[in-house]
Amino acid sequence: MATQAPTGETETASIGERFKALPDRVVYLGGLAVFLLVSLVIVWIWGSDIGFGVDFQRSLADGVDEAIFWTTRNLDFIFDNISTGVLWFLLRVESAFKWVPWPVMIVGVTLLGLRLAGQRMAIFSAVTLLGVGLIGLWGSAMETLALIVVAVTISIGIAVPVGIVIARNDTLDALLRPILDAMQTMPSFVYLVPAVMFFGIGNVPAVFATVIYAVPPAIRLTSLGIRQVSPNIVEAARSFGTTPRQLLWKVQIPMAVPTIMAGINQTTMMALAMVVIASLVGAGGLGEDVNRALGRLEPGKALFGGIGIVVLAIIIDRLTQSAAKERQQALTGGH
Amino acid sequence: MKRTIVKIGILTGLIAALTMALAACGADPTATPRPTATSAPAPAATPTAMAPATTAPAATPTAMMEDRPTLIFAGLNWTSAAVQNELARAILENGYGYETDAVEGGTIPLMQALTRGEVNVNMEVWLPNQSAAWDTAVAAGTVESLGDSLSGKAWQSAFIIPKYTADANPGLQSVEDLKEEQYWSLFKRPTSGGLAGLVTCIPGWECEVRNEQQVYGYGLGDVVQLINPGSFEALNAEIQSAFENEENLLFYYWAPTALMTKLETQYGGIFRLEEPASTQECEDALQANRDAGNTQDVTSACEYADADVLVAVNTDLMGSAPDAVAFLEQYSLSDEGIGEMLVRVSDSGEEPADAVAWWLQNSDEWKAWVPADVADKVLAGL
Repeated sequence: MATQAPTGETETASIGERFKALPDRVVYLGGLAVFLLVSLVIVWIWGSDIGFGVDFQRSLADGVDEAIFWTTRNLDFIFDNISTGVLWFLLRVESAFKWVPWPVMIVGVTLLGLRLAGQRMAIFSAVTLLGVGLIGLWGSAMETLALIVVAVTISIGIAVPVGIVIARNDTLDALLRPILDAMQTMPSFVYLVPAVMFFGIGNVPAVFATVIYAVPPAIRLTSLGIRQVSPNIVEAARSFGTTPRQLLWKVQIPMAVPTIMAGINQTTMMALAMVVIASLVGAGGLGEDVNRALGRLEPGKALFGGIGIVVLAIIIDRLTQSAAKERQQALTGGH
Repeated sequence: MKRTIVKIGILTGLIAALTMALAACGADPTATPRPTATSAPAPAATPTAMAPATTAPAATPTAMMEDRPTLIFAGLNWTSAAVQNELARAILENGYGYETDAVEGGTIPLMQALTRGEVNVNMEVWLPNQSAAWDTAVAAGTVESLGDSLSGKAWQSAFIIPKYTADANPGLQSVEDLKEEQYWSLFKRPTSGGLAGLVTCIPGWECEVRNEQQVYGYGLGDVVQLINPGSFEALNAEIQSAFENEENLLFYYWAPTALMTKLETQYGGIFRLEEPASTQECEDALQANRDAGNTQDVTSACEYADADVLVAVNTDLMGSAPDAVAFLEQYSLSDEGIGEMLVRVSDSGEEPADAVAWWLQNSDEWKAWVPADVADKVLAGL
């Protein structure tokens, strides 16, 4: 020890730095040993169930409960208005999808697939959609589609403006990031059941929960898309005298469209993943079929409902991806 | 210098690993001698109890010697089942020295687990609600009923309205009155297509079909739209928020339940619309109609017969835990009993186990289910 020359120096270094400077083997092996020894001693003396002595959960949770009940009672009018608006939109979309005769729908999607993604996609769409109809799930599939369309539309309406704002403001970006993480990882049932207290059972809390779960990727990719626009292009646009507003609308957003489309694609896929969970608050469609079939222990029926969701997912995914690709080609091809 | 530190580190690691191994051996009752319950007078609290997890402190020495099965209860997710589980477990653990556990799950998966023996006891099999699953389980030959777990009457109805709605509409007494527009229009909802909405049973449960039969059988098919709540949790949230806002609501529910107790004590209670009485012919006709699968094509219906709530066990238990089976056969909880515990859970937010502990100390009802010495052990173990 005494032979070590720079003792004075190490003393001035902070504890954190000295800890970091220790070799890995020492830290991890020694750490493990200390960890085990301390655990052993504590277990030896007090037993393995030492407890924390206090428990704040009850009082904290009671406070949250009280806040939720207070909100249900006093902010009823806000939720009622949101509920009416979403429901109005949803019912229109749903009746539109249900109004279109199935042959027209299938031919339409097939042609769209042919135009955007080629022959194989067209054949896949035609066969699988016909299959969905033949196993009696057409009505449910259209209900689910309506739910997805509404949830994704609302998500885009939120994600694009928010994405643009956080692309231009690093502080907001840093603030929003953990919130987005929480939205994606918080188990949906945790906010789904309070949503029922606010919006009543049915499609509205389902849309609400789906938006919470599905909106983060669209926000992230919108922001990314705008940040990714080459500084050279931005510089060039500036040198031609664009205003900041023109720069955003005529340069950054158009250049970011392929990335934003990728975000929308992700959002749609995540919305489809929520279909069965949404059925737990009374949303109709394929999720309800799956939920009911599982409740009756009819795994076969549940499987068919699940396949219906997969078919919708694949078709929507390929179509939106191809559309994004086409847009990307249009952008790069122009150069 | 560095090397010394590494060496010390490795050495401590090795020592720790050795101690770990020793501790692991110590936890295995067959490997290392350790203080037994007979030689250590107070095994739980002393620091010498090295592996506390393995010793059940309240167990008698003889109980520890025997190879007793751990009793696995069906952890059904409604409050009365949670309370009954805790009650039976408290008595079996403290009075008979069994280890017990509960496995969470849905009705159907737990019934299957009971059939396979992965779950030993189900404290609440509701009949006729679960009759399809129950009949299948009984037919498998490994499941048996030990009689009623609730001795009082358990009811269910699809035509419950809040008491405040009933008070405001004294003319609304029966399902027949619901045919009048002034009454059914009270229950209009944004999603019910201009009709009255009836928040019905959870999808996949038998009551979902039965409720539909009742709506059509009572001639309400043109004015009532069934609203699917999606899940038990959502059904509860919907009902409670309606009562919270004093909204009119027509809904399906059952009792004894924590929610019904809560509505009774905090929100002024509920009113059940009168329905035609349940008769055997009516039940048979409805059953035939259900089997035929055209549930909207019914001309008459009747109320739910009061439900039976059974204790069910896997038949393995008869051989492996005869005293537990004997106790569960005696087990039969009264209306007051379950009500007293449900009130504590739903009103004061007590954990079911705490409500049970309180009830065991303050009621004599359960003492009739067990021998006197077992009752003493239960009270001593609390």
